[in-house]
Amino acid sequence: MALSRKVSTSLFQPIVTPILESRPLCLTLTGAALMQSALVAFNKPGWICPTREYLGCPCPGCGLTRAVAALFSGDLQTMMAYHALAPFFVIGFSFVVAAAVLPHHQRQRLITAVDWSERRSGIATIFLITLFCYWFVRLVIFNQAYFNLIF
Amino acid sequence: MEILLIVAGLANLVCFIWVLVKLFADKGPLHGILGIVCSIYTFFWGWVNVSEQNITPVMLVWTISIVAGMVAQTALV
Repeated sequence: MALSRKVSTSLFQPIVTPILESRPLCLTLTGAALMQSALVAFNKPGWICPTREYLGCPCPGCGLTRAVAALFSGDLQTMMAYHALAPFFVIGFSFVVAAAVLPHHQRQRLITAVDWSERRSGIATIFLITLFCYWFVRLVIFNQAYFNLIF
Repeated sequence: MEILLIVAGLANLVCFIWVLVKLFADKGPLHGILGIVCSIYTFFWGWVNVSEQNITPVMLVWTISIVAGMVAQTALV
């Protein structure tokens, strides 16, 4: 009983809300995303993923920038090849951008709404679990194609 | 340049793991997992909480290693 309560509490624990609550963090993440997008757009080396670069194994988020770039240019096939979950990241990140730029009152309303939905649905946790399953399947089943694509 | 890339990479990885451990300890496993998925989040979480976590030297080394890595990669391409 205690274990199931603990699991349930962990599952419905907000993940995005604590990020939204810190405006400096939202601002720096937004700035970093803009910079990363610009670097990728101009074929310059951007943020280096430590897992991919130094452990030789792509992390669950590898390919996301290229997938988002493909999504914004309307190339859904390329987006799917790089990272099928990119649209969900875009939705999640749009909350971070909104929390960075919105005035205090609207920002508080946004945080309350996101907190409520996270606590009710456990959506962020479900998304993280899905992300890890997706990464694991690509790593184990589509190993060669996945590595060729990401590296 | 290749030596610089290797040194920067090693420093980058060590600092990443260091801050990730702090993130796990402070924010719990879900944020820790998010930090693995999105290392850029770990980096900025580290800078935002630099005084609270007392990790200024680690964050400085990490930032320098990232810049050095970018410079070395650009020079090698």
